[in-house]
This record gives sequence, structure tokens and C-alpha cells, in this order.
Amino acid sequence: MNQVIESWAAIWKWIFLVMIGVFAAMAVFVTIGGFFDIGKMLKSLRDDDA
Amino acid sequence: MAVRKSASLTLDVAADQIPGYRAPPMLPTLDLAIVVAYLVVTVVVGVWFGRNVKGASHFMVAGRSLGTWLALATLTGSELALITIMYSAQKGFTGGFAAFHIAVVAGIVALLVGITVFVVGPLRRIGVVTVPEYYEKRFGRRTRVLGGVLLTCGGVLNFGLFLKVGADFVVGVTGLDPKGSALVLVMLGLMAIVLLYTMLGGMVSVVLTDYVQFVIVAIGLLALVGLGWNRFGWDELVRVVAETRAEPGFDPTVAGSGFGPAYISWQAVLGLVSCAIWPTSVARALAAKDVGVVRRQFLLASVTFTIRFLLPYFIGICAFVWLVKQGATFGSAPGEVKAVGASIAKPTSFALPGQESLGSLLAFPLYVKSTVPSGLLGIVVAAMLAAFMSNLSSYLITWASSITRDIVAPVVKNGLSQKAEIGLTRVFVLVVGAWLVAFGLFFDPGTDVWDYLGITGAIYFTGAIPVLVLGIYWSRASSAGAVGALLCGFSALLGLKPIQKWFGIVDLPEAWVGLGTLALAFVVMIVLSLVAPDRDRTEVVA
Repeated sequence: MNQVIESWAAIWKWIFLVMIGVFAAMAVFVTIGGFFDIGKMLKSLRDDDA
Repeated sequence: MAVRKSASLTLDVAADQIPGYRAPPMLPTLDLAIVVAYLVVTVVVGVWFGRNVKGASHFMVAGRSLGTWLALATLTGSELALITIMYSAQKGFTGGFAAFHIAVVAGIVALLVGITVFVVGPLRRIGVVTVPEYYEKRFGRRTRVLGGVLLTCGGVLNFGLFLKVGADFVVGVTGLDPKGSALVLVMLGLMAIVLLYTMLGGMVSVVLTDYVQFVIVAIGLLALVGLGWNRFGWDELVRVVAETRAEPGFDPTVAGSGFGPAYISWQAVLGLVSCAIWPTSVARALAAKDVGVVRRQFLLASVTFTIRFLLPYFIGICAFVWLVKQGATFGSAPGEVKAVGASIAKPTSFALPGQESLGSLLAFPLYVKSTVPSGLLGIVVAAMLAAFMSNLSSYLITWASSITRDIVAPVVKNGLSQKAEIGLTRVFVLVVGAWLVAFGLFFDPGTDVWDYLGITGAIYFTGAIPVLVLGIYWSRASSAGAVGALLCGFSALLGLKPIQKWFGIVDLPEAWVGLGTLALAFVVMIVLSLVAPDRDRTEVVA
């Protein structure tokens, strides 16, 4: 494997690992935060009706 | 070099003839139960919460009441579609690690939009419901109707393939017979479920089902990546791609990678469009509570706009390596196959030993079907169905709303009542749904799905970018310029392979057509605005 390929492979590996980590953490926040946001949205829609 | 007959887009590999094949022909009972449970939950959530929707604002933008996390879930749910996963896995399969640049460019552009709230911030402040509604406020009714027509043309062509690709995946991964009526039945069944909750609850149902779908898609995608990593490891993936593709498998700037500078520039444009111009993304910004939520939504979405490409690229590379290890052969043209070891410029087809050649789009479902263990397979299939349904429902409600509000309502003398507006939108949801079934059955794009989507979307967005950007940020932009720029979008049709064939043009790259159309639209808008300025321009406060 030549030097160019090794350099590109290292760049892509770090981008991939960092983004996986960030996405996994964010998915937890979106799941919990989104659940509470649903309650607020439904309340807001009910208030609109009233 | 052997040349074999090309197969259609459907998966027709006999399970017992694939070396290393482990999954039974049909989805195991446990996995089937998981998929059915997911479908029941989706319908119940969509129908239960959608039944009390009142007024056009609830139906079209969920009463503008989305908080940051829910806005992000629905934005991700609608943009991380099954078709996105399918064509991205195809790009990873054909482009190798070099395809990762598309994800990086998309993430950077989304981050910049989040920092600056470019276009989406002013649109939210103005308080419009659709993009063409802004055209009317800024440039008059004529521009709104033309914009609505172009949006509809580009949009329905663009997502014409969604249903077919989704049904292809379901048929392929479940082991249904692709040569019978299964494909049509799956298309009709999936469409019926999505239509049920979208027509009933509009954006409220779409947002709530998007949330459920986001959770399942996140779990399913991360599980698939974990399985691929565990099976091969990063170093092995790199080694196989390096041996079969050499430098073009890693460096997107070199000849032979299938990318290059023009392609990368085109991806930057598509990245901007995906988050700041495309109606389904803009609709999420317009449904947000305020501009602060819009900013946070897009800053965080830069992660998901990267991930929605990056993870499927990785899975596509895993599928490629898995096929290499199964002794598959690959071709750079439909129906052509070569032994591994020969230089493969861009593997657009593959054939397992003793099997017919298949298109690269089918590598992903074949890989999933053959390698994911029972139990997890049900979750992954449910995740793919979730990705499919959230995207389809979002697109249906967005385009149906746009047809009602931007094409029909402006030409009705006294406007539409709220009741008529909701009723008409429901009718258009049904009409567009029927179109998807018909189009999916009869049209063959003749190119990678991602490139087809880019160029059909360009019919709308190459005109929309200058009209929105110059309309918001340049006070001298005029309605004549806006109309001229929007009309330029039609020249993007030249990027479609069937149209090129009709005109006798040989292989004009989509990237060049798209960039050329965009440049032309900017020039036309600027020149016409200077030559024919508006005399009584309405100020739009953003």
C-alpha cells in the first residue's frame, strides 16, 4: 500500500470514528429531548384549539 | 472477461446458490414480528394523534410548535431516507472510501448554514409556509405560480423513484419472489400505510412518526456499522479496496475515482440545497418555533447530514468487500463482469459465482440479507422501512401543500377556505402517491440513483437558489429576473440520460449540466434585474 493511500485512509478513518461517536451521543439527546418536545407540541396544539 | 446478461433492479439471486449464505429465503418469524410491530406502532401513532388536527397551520406546519430536538428528529427522519441509504451504499460500493468526501462536504455546508442561518433564517422571520409563498411576497403572484409549477415538476420527477427503490429493498431483503406480483403489492401496501396517516394528520402525524422512525433508524444503522466493523475491521476494508481500486478508491480528486473537482463543487451545491433550499428541509425550518431553534436545528443537523451519507458509504464498502470474499466478479458497465485483481474503474455491476450479473444498487440488500443474524435483521428491516416511510410522508405532505397553496390557491378568485385547503391537500397527497406507483413501475433512470436525484432536483433548485439568495440579500433583484432564473431550471433536464439520448448528446456529466444551469440562472437573474427593475417593489422585512 503506498503512502498516498495510507494518508487518505487515516483521514477517512478519523472522520468516520469521530462522526460515529458524535452521532451516537446526539441520537441519545434527540431521543430524550424529542420525547419531551412532543408533549410541548401537543399541548401547544391543544391550546390553539381552545 | 465474461459478459453476462444484465438483470433488472430486482433481486433474483437464489439463496441456496450463494456461497456463505446463511439467511433463509423468507424473513424468519421473529424478524417478521418485529417488522409488523413497527408498522402497527407507526399507524397507531400517526392516526391517533392526527385525528384531532384542526386548521391549515396544524396540517401543513404542525402549528409552528416544534422544539429543537423534535425539529432535529423530524429533519433527520425525513432526510435520512431508505433511498438515501440505498444510493449512498451504492456510492460507497462504486466509489470506495473516496465517496466519503460527499459526506464531509454536506456536513461542512450544513454547519455553515447553521452558523449563518443563510436563507432559512430570513424565511422563518418572514413567516411564510412554503418557498413559493416567499416568491409572491417578494416578486408577485406570477413568480409564485411559476415557482410552484417548477417545484412540482422537479419534485415529482425527483422522488418518482423513491417508492420503487424502497419496494426493491423490501422484496430483496425479505426473500419475496421479485418476478411475481410481490413488487407491485409491496409498493401498494407501503404507499397505503403512508397515505393513511399523512392524509389524516398532515404534518402533525408526519412529525410524530418521524420521531419514532428516527429512533429506529439510528439503532438499525449503528447496528449495521457495528456488524461490518466486527466482521472485517477497518484495516481489512482498506486492504481490499486498495488492492482492487488503488488510489482512486481513496482520493476523490484523481482521475479514475469517478469524482474530480467539478463533481466535488457540484456536491457543495447539493449540500447547500439539501439543507437551505430543498422544500422538505425548509419546511422543517418554517415549522420551528423561532430563528434560534432554526440555528440550533441546522448546527446539530450538520452531524446528521454527514452521517446520513457516511454510514451507508461504509456499509456499501462492507458489501463490496463481502462480495470480493465470496469470489464475485465486477464490471464497469451494465452486464459486464471482470475478475477481481483487474483494474476496476467503477464497479457498477457484480456477479456471484454461477449467478447473473446484478446492478450495484442491489449489493446492499443482498449483503444485509446474507450477513445480518435473525433478530437483528428484523430491527434493521424495520429501520429501513422507517427510513422509507418518514421520507415518503414528508415529501408527500410538502409537495401536496405546495401544489395547493402555490398553484391552485393563487388562481382561485376569492382564495381557498381553510377547509378547502386541507381537503385539496389530501387529494393531492393521493394523486402524487398514485404517480409514484406508476412512475416507479415504468421508468429506468439509466444512471446512479444519487446522480438522477441531483439532476431532477436541479430543475427546481438551480432557479430557486438565485431567486432566494438574491431576493433576500440583494435589494435590486426584480420579478423579471426571478422569472428568467426560474425558467433556466428547465435546462437541467439535459442532465437526464434519456433526454441526452433523445437529443443525441453523448454522456454529458450531470455535474457539468447542473453547475452550468446554476451559473446561467444567476447571470440571467442579475442581468434581467438590472435591465427590467420593479417599479413598485414591496419591501419584505426579514
